[in-house]
Amino acid sequence: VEQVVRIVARAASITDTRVTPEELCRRHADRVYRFATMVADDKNQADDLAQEALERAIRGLDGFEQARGTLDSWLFRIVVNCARDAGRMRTRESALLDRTKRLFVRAVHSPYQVPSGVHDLDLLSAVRQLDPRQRALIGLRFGADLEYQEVGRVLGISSSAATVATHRALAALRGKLEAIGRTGVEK
Amino acid sequence: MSQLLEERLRTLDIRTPPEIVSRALTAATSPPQYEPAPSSRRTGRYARRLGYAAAGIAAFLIANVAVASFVPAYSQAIANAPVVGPVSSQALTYLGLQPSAIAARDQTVTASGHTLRLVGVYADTLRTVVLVQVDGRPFEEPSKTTKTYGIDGYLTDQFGHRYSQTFTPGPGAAFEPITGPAVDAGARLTLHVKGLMPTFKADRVSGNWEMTFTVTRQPAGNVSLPAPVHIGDTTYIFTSVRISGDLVEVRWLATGGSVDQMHRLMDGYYGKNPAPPPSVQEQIRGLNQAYFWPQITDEAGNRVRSIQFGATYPKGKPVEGMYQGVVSGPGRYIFTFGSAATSDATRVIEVK
Repeated sequence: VEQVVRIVARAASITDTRVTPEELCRRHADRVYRFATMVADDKNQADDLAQEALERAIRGLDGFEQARGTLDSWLFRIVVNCARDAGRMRTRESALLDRTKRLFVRAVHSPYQVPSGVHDLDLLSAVRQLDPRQRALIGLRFGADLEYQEVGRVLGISSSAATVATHRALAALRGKLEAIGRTGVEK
Repeated sequence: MSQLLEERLRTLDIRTPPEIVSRALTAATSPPQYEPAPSSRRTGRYARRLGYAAAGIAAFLIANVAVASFVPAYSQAIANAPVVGPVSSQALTYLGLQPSAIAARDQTVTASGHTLRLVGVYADTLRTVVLVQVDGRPFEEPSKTTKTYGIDGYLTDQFGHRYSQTFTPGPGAAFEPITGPAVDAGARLTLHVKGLMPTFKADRVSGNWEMTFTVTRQPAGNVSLPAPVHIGDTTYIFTSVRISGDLVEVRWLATGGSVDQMHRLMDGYYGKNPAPPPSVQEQIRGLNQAYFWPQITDEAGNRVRSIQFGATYPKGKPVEGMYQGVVSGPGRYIFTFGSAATSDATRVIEVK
């Protein structure tokens, strides 16, 4: 009975939610879809993942409390959990953190120019060859356009760890691009 | 002209298919869904789902998993011999279905270390039911002592329409009814299972199991609407009574004193978290029991198995209520809204 009453109270809180489902979709669906496209293996998976993530977010709108974080970090935690459930990401943040620490070799992030001959599909294909953790980082930083601090919040790691891990992912992506022989560093 | 890698990633031409948003909105606004695991985490998720389903209104939904006291005597006597694949008639009774209603299927898929076997399907205008066996375990009713898996997923048809799950525990899973062009064309459905949920346990197993099958939608039976009911100054109007197999679904609207009283109790807590103080909780509970927790009994007074029931409380509007229960077959059944109902405030539902 207590659970029932709690449900009543939680459900009641929806009336004060500031973001409507339509507004949530209008403002964020594109970024959710971009992230989904980068972590999924193909368009069908991306469609499923984006739809599932948006649905969960809409259903969970009353659980969003501004005092506890930004809408971005709240939303993308849901999206990332969806991706994990779909098997598109590793389930343990610690694996990412461990790997980040191991690779913390002060990788200098050098600007890398992608030649104009590389098409979007080539680039997306290279992203999809990365391991799931790297895809998640690339997807959150460049697909969802989150700041490193937000990326860290979403993945449960520090901002600096997110920065380093993302740079490593970019380096790996560069390696993939070079491996498929389509690009080179332009001087 | 070359671009920085980061810039290229940011400007990748990825266009969101417009149907993604509409599907998400549609799926999220589907009726409140039952989730079986009673852990606090799942209760929270359940509450949030309900929150939006109520679309800005206060809502509650009480799911009543087969508790011993609710199990009618007839089900105890039913033989447990398989009638559809490994599914016994006892398991089907839990779903309110007869063996003859089930279309047998036999598909197996393995992922995440678990094997799922689709053994039967059923569809009508009220629901679509799939019978999925997990790891060869027998189909059993949910139990606190045995580890029975429920599936967590959704269906899609060949036209891309997505059907949310509406009922999970026990030997099968129910989804929203088939709709749209798939009704006339014949539905080719894909079952997407995203997780296995041990009933009454928290250790959900995530995975990705998919099985495609065809099914024809049967009509659900409609029953003529009973006359309105008055309990004190509260008035109830029936809006639909439908039969799906042996499952009876009743929907109604309520207005009047108890509704106003509920609004007053809940209004003070809109937007508040955590729950109201115990004294208010107690008042809400009492009001629910008296006016909004319905039941169906047979003519002998035996309560039928309640599957789920609940109500939503749109601000300034009538309460919208729903009840689902499994009856034992054709006959006359008595519907009662709550403990405050007097003998003249009950209605007969005739199942043919």
